[in-house]
Amino acid sequence: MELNKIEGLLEKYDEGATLLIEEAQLRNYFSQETVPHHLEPYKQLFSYFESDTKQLAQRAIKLSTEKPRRYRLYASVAASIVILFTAFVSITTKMDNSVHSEDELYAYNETLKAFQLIANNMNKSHEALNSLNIISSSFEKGKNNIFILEKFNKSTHKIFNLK
Amino acid sequence: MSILSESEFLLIISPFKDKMFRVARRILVSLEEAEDATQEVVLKLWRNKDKLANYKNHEAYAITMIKNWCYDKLKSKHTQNIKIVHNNYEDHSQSLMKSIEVKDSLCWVGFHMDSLPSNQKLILQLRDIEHFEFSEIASMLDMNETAIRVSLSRARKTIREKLTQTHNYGIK
Repeated sequence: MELNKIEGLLEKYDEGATLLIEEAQLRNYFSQETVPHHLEPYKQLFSYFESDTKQLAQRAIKLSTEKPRRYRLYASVAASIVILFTAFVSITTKMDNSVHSEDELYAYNETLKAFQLIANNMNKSHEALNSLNIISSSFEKGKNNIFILEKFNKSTHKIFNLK
Repeated sequence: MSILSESEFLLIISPFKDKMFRVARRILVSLEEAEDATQEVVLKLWRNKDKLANYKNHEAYAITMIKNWCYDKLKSKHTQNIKIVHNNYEDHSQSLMKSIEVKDSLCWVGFHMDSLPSNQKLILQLRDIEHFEFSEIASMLDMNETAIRVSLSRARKTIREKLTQTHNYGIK
């Protein structure tokens, strides 16, 4: 196509006035290897448009949504099993550690001993408390004797009143 | 219109599925998100396939749907994502400074195109890449044809001027 015709079309193109057919002619013109230097920017523009047309969606379209949902269900079940399993494993391994670790065992035994000691002392003091109980019971007896004294007092008063 | 089967529906969609994808990519920039958008909108069209019969131009309807979907998506996004996108392009321009290869000069066009106002960018995409008629673009974007011509002219001129500048810079 003649250069001046192309330039005319380009002017129309810049104004947004070209028809689709004319734009196709321009694309066709700029698909050639070499163009005059001053039209180089247009060549860039049109070859960009051409290259962008070749960009296609890669993923296949899925219309049925049932399948992914099912997969989701399976995935959630699998995930919960995995979580339960890991929880179980971690708990059991923790228990094993407390049995096997010597330091921990030693510390455990030491604390047990300490508690035993405290318990023994507690028992001893408890025995001491028993003697206190005996004292308190004899106090009780003494109290009873006081009652007798009071009775005696009353009877002596009565005797005095009679006089 | 009788009820469409899955294969019939896909047959209707397939000629312009890639157009939908490219429009989505132009708006969202990320390829991954554009694929997602295409899948979502095709599914939406499939669910509302009864409505599809009311539209003469299925293609234009599908493009309108995906355009709206993508703009909604952008609205719900944070501006941070857009910043990341711009960083990606800076990398392109840096490689461009070093070599004047054809592929890189095409990157420049993409860069200039993406820095246009969103409406101009979309109109340019619909006209010069997807080759839609002005009447179709008008119905998709809910604008009149004159306004579209004006925007298109502005977009074409802006890009060409920027390209001329970088082109001259490369020569000198």
